[in-house]
Amino acid sequence: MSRLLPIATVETEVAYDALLDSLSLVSRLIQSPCTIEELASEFPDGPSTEQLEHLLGRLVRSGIVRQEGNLYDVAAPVVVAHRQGGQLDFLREVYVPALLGLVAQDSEGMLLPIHLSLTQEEQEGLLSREVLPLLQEFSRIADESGESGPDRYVFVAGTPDVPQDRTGFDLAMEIVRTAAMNRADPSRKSRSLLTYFQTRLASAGEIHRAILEFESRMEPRRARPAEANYVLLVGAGTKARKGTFK
Amino acid sequence: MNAFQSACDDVGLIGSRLRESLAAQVQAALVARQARDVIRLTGPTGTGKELVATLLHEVSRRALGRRGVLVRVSCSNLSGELFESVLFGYKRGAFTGADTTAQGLLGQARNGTLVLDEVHNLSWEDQGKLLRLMGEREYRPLGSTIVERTDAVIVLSSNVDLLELARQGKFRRDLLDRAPAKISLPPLWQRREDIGQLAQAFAREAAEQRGWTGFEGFTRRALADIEGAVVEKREESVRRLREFVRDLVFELEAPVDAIESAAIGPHLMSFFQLESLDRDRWDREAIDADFDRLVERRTAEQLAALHGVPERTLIKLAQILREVYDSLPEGSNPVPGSYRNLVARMNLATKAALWLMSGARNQAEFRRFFGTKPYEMPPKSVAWQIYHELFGEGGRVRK
Repeated sequence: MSRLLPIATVETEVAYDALLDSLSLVSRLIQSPCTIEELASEFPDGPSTEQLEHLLGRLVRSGIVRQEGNLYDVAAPVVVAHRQGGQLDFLREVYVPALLGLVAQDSEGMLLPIHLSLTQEEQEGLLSREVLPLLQEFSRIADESGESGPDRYVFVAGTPDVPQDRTGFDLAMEIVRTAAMNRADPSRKSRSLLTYFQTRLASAGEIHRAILEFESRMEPRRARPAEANYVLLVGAGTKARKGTFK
Repeated sequence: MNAFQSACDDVGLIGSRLRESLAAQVQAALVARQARDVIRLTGPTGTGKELVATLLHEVSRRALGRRGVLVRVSCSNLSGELFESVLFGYKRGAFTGADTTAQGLLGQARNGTLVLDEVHNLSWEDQGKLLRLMGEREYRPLGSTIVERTDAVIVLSSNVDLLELARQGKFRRDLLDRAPAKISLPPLWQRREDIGQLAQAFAREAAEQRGWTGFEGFTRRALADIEGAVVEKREESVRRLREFVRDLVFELEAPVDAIESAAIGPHLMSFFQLESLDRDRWDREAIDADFDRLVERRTAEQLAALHGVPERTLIKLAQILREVYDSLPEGSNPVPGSYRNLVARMNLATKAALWLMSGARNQAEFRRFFGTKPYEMPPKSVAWQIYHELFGEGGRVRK
C-alpha cells in the first residue's frame, strides 16, 4: 500500500545551488539523521569537517535540512527541486555525468529508449500522469527499504523531436541534447522532460523492476522509431561507489 | 602538477578554457622551440596579455631552467634615439647627458624575458632597428662598437592583428617573419566556460575587500545570465567583466550569502546595453555550443578511467583517427591516390599514440620510456622527428 510522503520543494536559486553542491549529503540524510563526524567518516575522500559544516549550514539556511543539537536531518524525506540555474549547469553537473556514468556499469546500469506515438495533450501530461508517479514509486521503494546502500539515480528525458538514424548511446545523448534544447524553447517546453532522481538503496533490482513496469504501462502507445512522434529515455545507475561525494 | 599548471596557478590565470588553449600554444611557441624564437602575443584589449607574458616567463623558468628576470617596456612611449638607448643601452658619451655607461633592457633581461608591449606603435624606422635583434639576436648599444648577443625570450605583444597591419603596409613584414612563434588570446565571449569562473573569482575578491565572510558568490542562474550577456554582446575584455562585477558587489548595501539573478538583471541590462535578458535563447545557444565539447570531455574521462589511459591521449587519438577517417575515399577530405599517403598518416597516428602514452615532456623522456639501454631506445633522430611532427609547426596533432 503506497502512502504519500512529505515533500520539501526547492524554489530559490540559493537553495537549488546548495542542493546541487550536496546531493550525496542529502541522499545520506534522507536515510537517517547523523552528526558531522559520522558524515565525515562516510565520505573519507569528500570534504573536510569544516567544509561539511559549511555545506550543511547552507542546507539548513535553505530549509532543506534541519539541525537539532549535533544531529542533522532532512526537513522532508523527499526533496523536489525545480531547476533554478542555467540549463547547461544542470546538464554539465548532473545529467551528462549520470548518463555517461552508465558506460562503465554492467548489471547496475539500465538505459531504455521508448519510442511512442502520443497526442499533444498526452505529451503535455506525461510528467504529471506517468513520470512523477514513477519517481514517487522510487521514493516509496527507498523509504520502505531499511538497508543502507550506494547512491542510485534514475533520470527520464523526453522530447517530441525524435532523433532519427541513431542507436544506442548515441541516441541517448541526442535525446538528452534535444530535450534540453526543447526545455529552453517556450513553444516546446511543456512537451519535453528532463528529470533526475537520486536516493540511497541497497539493491538496484527494485528500481529496474519499477522501470520495466513503467515500460509495459507505455506499451499501448509504443511506436516504431521511424513512426514515433515522441521518445522517452529512462536511465538508471549507481554512483561510482559508496562514500563518493558530490 | 606539471610546470605549466603550477605556473598558471602562481600567476593567477583563471579560466579552464584559456588554460587549455594556452597549454598547447605555450608548448609549441616556447618549450618546443627551447625559447629560441621570438614570440608574437596577440589578443584584444583586456584579454590578459600582460598575465600571459608573465606566464611565459614563469614557464621558461620552470620548464627550461632559465634564471633571468622579466622586463617589460611599452613601445607607445618610446621612439628614435630614446627607444634605442632604453632597449640596447649606451656607452658613456654616446650622446649629450650620457655620463655613464648604461645597460639597456636587453642586458637586464639576460637569460630572462623581454616583453615589448604595444609593439604596433613603433615607427617604421624603429621597427627596422629590431630586425637584427629578432633575426640574429644581436644588437649594439649606442656609442659602442661591440656587438652583443641576447638569449632573452623576446615577446612582441599587441592588441592589433600584426599580419593585417603588415598587409596594410603599416608594420614591417620582414620583422613579423622573424617572430615565427605565435600565441593568440581569444576574446572573452569565445571562452564561454571561463566567464562564470572569472565572474565568481572577481566577486569573491571584491567581497573579501569589503570584509564579508561566508560569501558564496553568484548563484548558478546569475552566472548563466552573466555568461549569456557577455556572449550576446560579444564582450572581448576580461577587464570589463571585472568592472561589472566589482561595481555590483560594491553597490550592495549589506553583505549577502550569494548574489541571485534578480539582483543583477537591471545592472546587466544597463552595463551591457541589453534590451532584455533572453535566457531561453542564451540557454539554447549554450547547449548548442558546449554540448559536443561536454560530451567529448566526459566520455574521455570515463574511458580514460576505464582503460587507465590519460584523457588527453584519448582526445588527441580521436582527433587523429577522425583525420584518418576523413582521408578515406568516402571521407570529407579524401587523399588522392591515397594508400601511401594514408599509411603515412597512420604512421603518424601510431607515433602520436606512443608519445602520448609515454607521457613524455621531451625527447629524452620519450626515449627513456622504452628502456635505458641504447638498443632499447629509439634513435635520437627518430625522437626528434616524432616530436616535431606532433608539436612542431608541421605537426598535425593540434587542438
